[in-house]
Amino acid sequence: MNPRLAHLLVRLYPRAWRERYGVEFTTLLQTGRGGVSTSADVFWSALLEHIFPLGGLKMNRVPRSLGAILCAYLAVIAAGLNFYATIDDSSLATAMRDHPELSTAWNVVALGSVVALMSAIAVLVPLVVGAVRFALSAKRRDIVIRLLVAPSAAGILAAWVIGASFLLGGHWAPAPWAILGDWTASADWPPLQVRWVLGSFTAVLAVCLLIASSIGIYQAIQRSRFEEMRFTVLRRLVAVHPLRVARIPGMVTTAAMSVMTVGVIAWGFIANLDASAAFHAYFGPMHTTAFASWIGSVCVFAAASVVALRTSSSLLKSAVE
Amino acid sequence: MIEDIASFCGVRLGPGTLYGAIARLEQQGWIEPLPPEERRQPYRITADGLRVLRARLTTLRQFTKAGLGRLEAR
Repeated sequence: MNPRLAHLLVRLYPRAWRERYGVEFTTLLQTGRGGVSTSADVFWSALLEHIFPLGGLKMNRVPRSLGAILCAYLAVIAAGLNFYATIDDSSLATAMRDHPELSTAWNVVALGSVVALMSAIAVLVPLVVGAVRFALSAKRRDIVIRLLVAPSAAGILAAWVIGASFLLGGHWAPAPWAILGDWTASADWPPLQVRWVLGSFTAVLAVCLLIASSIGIYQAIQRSRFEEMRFTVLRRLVAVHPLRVARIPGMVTTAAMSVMTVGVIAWGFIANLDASAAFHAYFGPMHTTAFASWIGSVCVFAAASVVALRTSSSLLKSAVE
Repeated sequence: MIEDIASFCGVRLGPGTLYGAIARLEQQGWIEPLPPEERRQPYRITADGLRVLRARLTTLRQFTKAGLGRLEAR
C-alpha cells in the first residue's frame, strides 16, 4: 500500500491505540496489499476502536471494568427513574400502603439505590480526579471533552424540561409519563397532541443523552493513564491510586445494582398478585401499562447487572492479586 | 499471519480485523509481543492463552463430533 495512504489510515485510530500498535500496523499496511476492501476494513476497524476502545498495552482490565460498571449504573438510573415515575402518584403507590410485602420490595429497591449512589460516587470521584490530572498534565483535551459530556447532557435535559415547562405556562413538564394514561389530565395542561410530541421528544432526547454520557465516561477512563496521587492530610502524606481506591466501591455498586434488580422483579410479581388492576392500568410512559413499563425497567436492570457482574470478576481478581 | 490464516481456513482477514483480534488477544493476556524482527512483529501465545485455546478446541472437537454423529445417523 502507498505509505501516505497507510499513514492516513493509521491516523484514523485513537491516539492510545496508535501509541501501542501504530508502528507495526503501519508497516503491515505498507507491506501488504492495498485496495478498496483493505481501506474499508481499516476504516471500519478504526471506527469500532473509537466506539469500543481497547486503549493500549498499558491499559489493564480494572479501568475497563470500572468504566463498564459506571455505564451500567447510568442505565440503572434511567430504569429506576422509569420505575419510580410509573408508580409515583398512581394507585400503585396507595396499594403499597395496604400491602406490606409490596412496600418491603420497594424499600429493598430504595435501599439498593442509596447504596449504589454512594458507591458509584466513590468510584467516580477518584477516577474523574485522576483523569483530569492526567488530561491537564498530558494536555489531553479529548479526555476533558469526554468528561464534560455527562454533566452537559444532564444540563441539556434539565434545560429542555424546565424551558419547555416555562414556555407552556409552568403547569406541565414534558415527561413521557405525563402524556396520556388512566388518570385525569389537568385542564391547564397543553392539548394531547402537544403532550405527545414534547413527551416523545423528551424520551428520545433522554435516551440519546444517556448513550452519549455512557460513551463519554467510558472513553475518558480508557484514554486516561492513572497514577498515584499524593495529598497531605493532617500533616501526613497520603498516597492514593485512583484505580485501587475505586475497586471496592465498584464491586459494592455491582452488588447494590443486583439487589435493586431482585427488588424490582419481586415488586412486579407481588404487584401482579396484590394490585393486579392497578398493575395493568395505563400508568407507564407513552401511554403504556405499568406492567409494560415494569418489564422495560426489569430488562434494563437485568442487563446492567449482568454487565456489571461479568466485569466485576476482573476487579475481584485484581483485588486478590 | 494473514497468509497463514488464509491457507488453513480459507478466509483472508483484512489488516484492521487482524489487528483488532491481536489487540483483544493481547488485552486478555492470551498472546504477547516478541522483539521485532526487521519489519515483522512476531507474537507468541502465553501459558494462559494455551490453556484457553486447548479448552476451546476441546469443546469444538466435542461439538463437531456430536454434530457429525447426528448427521450420519440421518
